[in-house]
Amino acid sequence: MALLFNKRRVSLPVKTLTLLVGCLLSLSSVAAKVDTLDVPSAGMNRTLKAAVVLPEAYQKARQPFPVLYLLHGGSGSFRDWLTKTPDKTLLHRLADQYNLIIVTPEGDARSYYFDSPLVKASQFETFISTELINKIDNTYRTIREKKGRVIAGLSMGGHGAMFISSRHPELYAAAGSMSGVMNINTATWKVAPDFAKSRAENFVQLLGPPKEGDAPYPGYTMVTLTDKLKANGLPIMLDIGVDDFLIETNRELHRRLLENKTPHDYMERPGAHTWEYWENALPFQVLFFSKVLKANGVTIP
Amino acid sequence: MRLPRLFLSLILPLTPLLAFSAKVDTLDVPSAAMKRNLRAAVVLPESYAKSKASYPVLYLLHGGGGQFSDWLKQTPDKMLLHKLADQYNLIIVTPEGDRLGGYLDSPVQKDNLFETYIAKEVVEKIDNTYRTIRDRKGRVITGLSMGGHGAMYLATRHPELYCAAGTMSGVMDLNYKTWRIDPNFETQIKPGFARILGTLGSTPDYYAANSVVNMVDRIKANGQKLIIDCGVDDFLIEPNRELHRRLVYNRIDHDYTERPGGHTWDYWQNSLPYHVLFFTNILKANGAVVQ
Repeated sequence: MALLFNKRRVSLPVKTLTLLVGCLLSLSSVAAKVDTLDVPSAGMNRTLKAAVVLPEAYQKARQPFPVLYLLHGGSGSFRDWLTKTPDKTLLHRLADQYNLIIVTPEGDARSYYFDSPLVKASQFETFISTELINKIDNTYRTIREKKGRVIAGLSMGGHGAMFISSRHPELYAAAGSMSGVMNINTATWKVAPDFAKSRAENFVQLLGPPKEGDAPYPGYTMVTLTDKLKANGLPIMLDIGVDDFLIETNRELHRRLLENKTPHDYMERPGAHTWEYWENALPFQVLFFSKVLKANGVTIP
Repeated sequence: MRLPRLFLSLILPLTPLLAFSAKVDTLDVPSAAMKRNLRAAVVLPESYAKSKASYPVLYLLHGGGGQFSDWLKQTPDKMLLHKLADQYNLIIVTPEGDRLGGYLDSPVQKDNLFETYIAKEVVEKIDNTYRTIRDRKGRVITGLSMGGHGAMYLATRHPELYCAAGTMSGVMDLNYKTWRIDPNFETQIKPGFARILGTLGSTPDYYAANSVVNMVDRIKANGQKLIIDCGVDDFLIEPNRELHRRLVYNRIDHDYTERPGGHTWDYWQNSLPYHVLFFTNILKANGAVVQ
């Protein structure tokens, strides 16, 4: 953990050591650097953390860099994407390869990245879309506009990336979901009844009692937001493992987007709800984003 | 004269960052089986000349009505293959498949032997001409449209040659009645298909016998890595969906993507980098990448 998260404030000898290690690392293929940042939330009256992966080129460059916001899943934390992938240098390598800043913010264990009308301490739409972006744009040399900002996530974070970008299309150039919860109606998940019940209770706590029928929380889940997705016109990439318990929620969204003619990339591949799957999926997502960023003229050559 | 040399030695290490320096050979690859001389383009990554390592090879097939040079001339970005070869240290070979050779040894047109050509003669010529990994673990194959059929068809029938296969907007069913096309287009393509597969509807049904959608059991037995994609506006989308359904039903691992677009070079230019990323993961796992 110490190696992955160099705190921004470090004592001098450690700093020198970091510098030396940094020099050695730059000789090998992976030289991206990781900061852990405190990001205060006025809305939630608490301070949350984010990891920031800076590509090697960042230090020597003067240009502003595009940013990928990468959200974690349920029961997770901001550290997940740097500590749970089988290859612990995955984000470093992608940041270096594409000259991209990658930010992995905290989303709490079960916030679903909503601004909860009921739970004051769970205001994650505002946190991710306003407080975090301000902090990142004021701390790093970033492209401070839509054309240089993309967002993705896994599972709950896939929902979060799609949900937040659908509500703030002025902030993001593209969005991606890996194994995303594209329908928060737990009846559509292939899970044991106990698990479905516990997650449904979580939505009651966050959003209130469900409406009757197939869409208990219209406007809060992607299968009910297809008109918005169409109107926004953001490039979208959805992927899902065929053995994932969320496969049907993704197929449902894909069907609806085909029906209303919303352009999107949709992938099904081997695998389930696992870190092996996400380690494999992320480079394809980043390739997708890099094309959008290139077309927007904001990539660092 | 010392100074310019010093200058060069300073500048040269920077050039890989500035330009793509992959090199393209146009190679005569004669077919003894067909008694014809055909050509292939071979894209060699920049690192190849200085290296002693053996390189993995991507065979990249063109579509119906096309020719071997298509992948280098028809993409909006004419440097696409150069960039990918350099980025992934991969040799890319684009062989000739005739305007409608079907990448098969025709049961009716005895001098149409493109299965033998691509899977035997081309592979031998490439392996004897370049420093390649002469094994399935370093050989992958993909293509567009008829070439998507070709890649899947040849890989399925020669699993000893290729560790992975892909198809972009592929003709997964040779029975053109399953395609979303108008009668005029059907009339246009009919004679070309009849030449290599006989009249549609006659017995034996060579269309069904040679279609990838009908080879699912063999695909399952082979266990190769597969990547399949198609544009949602493509006239071939339904046969691709049908193949995906059959593969899912038979629990055969494969990557399947639907994305915006039709049967166009914009689509294929966008698609190819995903295939190469997919193949690179496999080559890496096989220990068949050049560092």
